[in-house]
Amino acid sequence: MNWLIKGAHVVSPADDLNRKLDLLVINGRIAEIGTEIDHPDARLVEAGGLLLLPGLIDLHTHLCEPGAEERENIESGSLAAARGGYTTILMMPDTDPPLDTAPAVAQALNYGAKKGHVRILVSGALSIGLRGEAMPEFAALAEAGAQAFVQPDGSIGDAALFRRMLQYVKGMVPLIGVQPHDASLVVDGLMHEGVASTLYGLRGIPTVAEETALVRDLLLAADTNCPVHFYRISTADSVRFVARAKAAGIPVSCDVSPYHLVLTDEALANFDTTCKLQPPLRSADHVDVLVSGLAEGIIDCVSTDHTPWTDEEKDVEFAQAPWGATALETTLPLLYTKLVSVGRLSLTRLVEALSTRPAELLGLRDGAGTLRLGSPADFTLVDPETERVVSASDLISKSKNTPLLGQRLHGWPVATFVGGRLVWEDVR
Amino acid sequence: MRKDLLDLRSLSKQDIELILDTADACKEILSRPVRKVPTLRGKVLVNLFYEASTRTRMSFEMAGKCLSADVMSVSVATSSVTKGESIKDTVRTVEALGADFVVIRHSSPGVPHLIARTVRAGVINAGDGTHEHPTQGLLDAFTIRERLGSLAGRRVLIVGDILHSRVARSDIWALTKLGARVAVCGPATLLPPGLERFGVKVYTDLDEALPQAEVIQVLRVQLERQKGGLLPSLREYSRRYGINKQRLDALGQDVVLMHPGPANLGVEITEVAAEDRRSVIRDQVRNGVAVRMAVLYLLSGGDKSELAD
Repeated sequence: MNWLIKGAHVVSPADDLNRKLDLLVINGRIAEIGTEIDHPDARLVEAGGLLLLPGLIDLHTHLCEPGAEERENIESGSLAAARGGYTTILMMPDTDPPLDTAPAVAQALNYGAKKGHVRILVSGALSIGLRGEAMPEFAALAEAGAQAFVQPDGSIGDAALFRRMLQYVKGMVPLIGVQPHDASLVVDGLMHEGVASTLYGLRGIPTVAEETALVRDLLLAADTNCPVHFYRISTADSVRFVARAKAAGIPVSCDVSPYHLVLTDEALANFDTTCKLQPPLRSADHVDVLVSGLAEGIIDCVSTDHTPWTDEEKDVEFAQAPWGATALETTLPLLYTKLVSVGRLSLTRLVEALSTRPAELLGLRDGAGTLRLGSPADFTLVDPETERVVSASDLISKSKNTPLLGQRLHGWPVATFVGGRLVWEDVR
Repeated sequence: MRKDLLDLRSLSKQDIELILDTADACKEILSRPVRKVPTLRGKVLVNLFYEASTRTRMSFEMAGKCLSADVMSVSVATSSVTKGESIKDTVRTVEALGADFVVIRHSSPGVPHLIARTVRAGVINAGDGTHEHPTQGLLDAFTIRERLGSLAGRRVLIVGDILHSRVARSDIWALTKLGARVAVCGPATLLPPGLERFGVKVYTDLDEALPQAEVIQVLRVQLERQKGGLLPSLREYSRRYGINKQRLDALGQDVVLMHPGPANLGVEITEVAAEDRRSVIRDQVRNGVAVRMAVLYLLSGGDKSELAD
């Protein structure tokens, strides 16, 4: 398919583009970017007033297939991704069965290619069954096509085992990811420990539950010189520790979830289980440091941690409710509305955090995260103005467990292209 | 008045005073030879208790009966959750049976809020985990007001496991809104963060905290806290924070001693202290019925003047 996108405001930090341009797609690849482009055989899209961004890339999507298709499946989850402007997602290994064997990884890749509306990359489990006790056959997982090894919801508790893992896997895959979390300090905590946990009577999770695990793993990354990516850091001191580690040359990177940049622990005042996230939503002082950490690039990127749950599972007693929220469809409009529009984050930096940097961390060399000439045409068109209320009936994801229901947001994607194919279009 | 009573933190001083004033009228009813008024005749009150409770459940039953409501009490084993019956399904069933009020006790904070969103019946929180126990806070405020005339400027000390105590939270909101000066005292592992933010003084040394107190509320210390590693031993707790005759006598003859019950006699309070004439523990129990009558009455849409007739 050939496309000529006319007059969009193109923002692509990797290509140093930030102005009004035309973009020509021939046979699914980017053929030309410039002004006053004409082409007889391309479908014309008048995109004046729209933003054109390189396709967004998510390092952390729970697709729930196989094993929990009532929550989400590859079809619904990848269409939700397309609607959110994503063209590539890294699927988490916590399926049932988990992706800790080569056949499981191969099958996930196969299903992803067959049913996915966007490009689906697959991560292998960092430990057998994600139990944190033993190494899976890492080389076999990598040969089967795993792009990353991750423990998506927690650290490897045993420091000696994690050290051996880093020694063993170094160089096998581009990304090794953990979520810093010391379970012995979390105990049965339900929310950020602070004034709000005192008010609501919910057991607190201290910030050190994250920071002790983070610091230990920074030291192990330094010791093994193996790159480690930290999923969704959430405290002010975590940002400071990562900054110091990077300055010292330790090969680490980190991300933050969209909700931790916008919501505080006070969102739990009505015991709304959609706000029950791991790590917990923090107080405003932490949120401020996370936003500035993202703006300064200490935090590399934003990952959605899209975690679907059915209403039957999620709308229950707070203590019993599972952790996590859906996010693929709303991350860009949420951050555009709450950070970019109010001047707390530049649009360029947002695009870096949602596309350029995740592509680098995943080691993608085919032009993903860029609008490089000749590379597959993965991009999204965004309407920066039109406001829309987040409503359950409007969401594509099978699950509606988002804390944003009822919020008015702008900056919604209106069309998403993968390899020059229009995979999602806002028909309104 | 609103449909539900879920917490005291969101109530205003005026809301709380209205309930206490109404409770005065209810207490008068309880002193009559026939302790029953027809106010809630034909209304159905369901006590839905997911946690063991004798006192609070009996108190709500008594309050409902004195107002002529039909009262049912259900003890739901928490295991029904594992059997697959959701709490929303249970309360919808209770409502379909005709409940006008659901009194709920549950170990998970926020369950009354979940139920209030689910049904049209009035929901009363009878204790949700470590969050709140609003009618206990109200009856404690009522008891202090009865004894001392007013709470304004009164110095109240709450002693014990503040971290896990829904009573402490509801007491703090009720008492501070009514103008009392509240302090808490307990071991650092049983104190929640940030209480100073609400004007509450925080002590870890009981003998430093006690001399300022005009009212002492002694909290039950859960025997599990030692197992959870929050206390070295109950014996050490008792020595540092237990209220005994000696500590009581040092406070003079006018101090008011309270305990929400049930007490671990010999741990946080000795039997001699609990039965001392300065103890108002039995008044708390009696006043609980009056306060719960007042809450039921106001949630049913009544106003104070009608009840007085």
